[in-house]
Amino acid sequence: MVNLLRAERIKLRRSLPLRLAVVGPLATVAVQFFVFLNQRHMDIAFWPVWHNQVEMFWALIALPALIAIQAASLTALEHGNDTWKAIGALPNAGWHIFLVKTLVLYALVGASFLLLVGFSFVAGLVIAGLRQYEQLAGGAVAQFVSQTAAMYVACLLVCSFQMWLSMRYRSFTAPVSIGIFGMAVGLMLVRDDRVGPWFPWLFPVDVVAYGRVHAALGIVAGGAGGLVITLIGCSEFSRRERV
Amino acid sequence: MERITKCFRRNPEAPGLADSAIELSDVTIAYGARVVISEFSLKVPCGRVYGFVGPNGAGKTSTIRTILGLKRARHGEVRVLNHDVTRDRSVLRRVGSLIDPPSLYPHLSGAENVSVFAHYYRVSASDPACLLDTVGLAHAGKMRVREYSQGMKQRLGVALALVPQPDLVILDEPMNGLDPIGIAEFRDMVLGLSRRGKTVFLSSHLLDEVSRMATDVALISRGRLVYAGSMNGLTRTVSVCLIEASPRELAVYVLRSVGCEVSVAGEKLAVNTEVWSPSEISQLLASRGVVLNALIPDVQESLEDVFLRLTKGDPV
Repeated sequence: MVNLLRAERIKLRRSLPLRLAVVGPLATVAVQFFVFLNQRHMDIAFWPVWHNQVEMFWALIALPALIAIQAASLTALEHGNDTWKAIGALPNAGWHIFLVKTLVLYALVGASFLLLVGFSFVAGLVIAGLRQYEQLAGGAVAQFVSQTAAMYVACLLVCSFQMWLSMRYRSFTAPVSIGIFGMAVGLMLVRDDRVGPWFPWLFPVDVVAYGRVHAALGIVAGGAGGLVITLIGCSEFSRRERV
Repeated sequence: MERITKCFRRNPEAPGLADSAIELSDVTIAYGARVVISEFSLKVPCGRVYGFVGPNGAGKTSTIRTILGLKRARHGEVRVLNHDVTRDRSVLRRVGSLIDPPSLYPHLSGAENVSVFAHYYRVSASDPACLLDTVGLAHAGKMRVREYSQGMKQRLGVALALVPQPDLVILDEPMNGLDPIGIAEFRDMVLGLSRRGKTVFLSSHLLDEVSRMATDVALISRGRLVYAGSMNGLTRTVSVCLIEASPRELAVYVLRSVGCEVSVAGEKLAVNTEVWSPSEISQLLASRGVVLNALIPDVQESLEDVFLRLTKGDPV
């Protein structure tokens, strides 16, 4: 399976999924950067507010859209040129192919999380310098990094689901539409403390918005759910004809 | 062709002896209720160039997909290099394939496409440019595939089929989009593979080209096998000679007046020689004032003639 991962690494060169991995977090931080710059000087603890604002926008809007488009564009590399027939004629089991694609999506989304952390620190330092807010402290760094790591685990269920959809259906539009629909429903449910935390597209939001219990729910359900859906996908793609 | 072995190092693996490269036994292939191949049996001997010929919709591509494990046979057994491909996919490591249109990544260069497939087959690609050179794409290795012409894409598809240094190469319409020079080079490449003991299973609608490369051929029509065997056994020598005479109309009149079957074949006349021998025809025409410019005795029946004869009545 390592050989398949190496092949995927080459396929990512100059590809849309690779660009999206950078553009997604960059756009998120850029939007929040300008929003913050347009606000009046506030007498607040800057870094927690800044991080929370970046995280909420990321978890609620940017991340679900990014995952849906990433998954669809990763499989579009095969759907677009019908390279499935060449991949299907390889000496690899069908579930290897699904698992590798899912792992690549996990890796790309993980890279986006890392870039989000990096970009938000840089942008935060610029804002803090311009507005003369307090300096970045070690505690704020640790909290932000641990929260984003937890959000990453919480989003794995949606990652696996979107990858299953994208591999299952040739259409680019269908899985992206479902992802955007999930994001829209999440926006409607985010203020509902009873239902919101249980909605899969809001599991990353659980980590930062609903308190410790729901944060744990988001991490466990997101991580375990991602594993279960990946296993279901592997099972299905080991049986499917590759026509 | 010798260069191909220098281009890649395959991971060591026992090659295994095979009686036949491909063996289909009573295979039925269906899409839902629609049966495209019914109780089809075929044995492709090792080391041959095997032509697989049939009209559009005859079931050629479905058969190839089944051989490669892309489609499951509803009934029957499919063995590739002595392995049941539905149970043991590892044998596909020794099989290179091209199903038209070629499966390529247009955002990558030709060399990167080769590298992707080298990883797929767990082959150490020491120099993708070397393999590209064998298909005449050495100059375009760094060019993105989206900038390739149709013929270049086809050549790259063939190169990708050769990546695993296969014992069996399965090519579905490999000459689509190739210009005459490309077809001639492709022919040399296939014959080179054959000389190295590789088996080439070649599906094409270019019957003339298949007949120039194949040692054996299977004709398929409407999901049934019409003929399977050697090319020599298929194309018989027929009692026809081709002549070029002037004036042509007079030659036709003279020959028909003595009971010869004559048909016009382009600039030439095809004359049945079962009653009159070629030398008698020559003397007859000379005695009636017809100038004979050329006479070709004992014409070989083309694969196209045979194909049309055997599938007469089937929609082509």
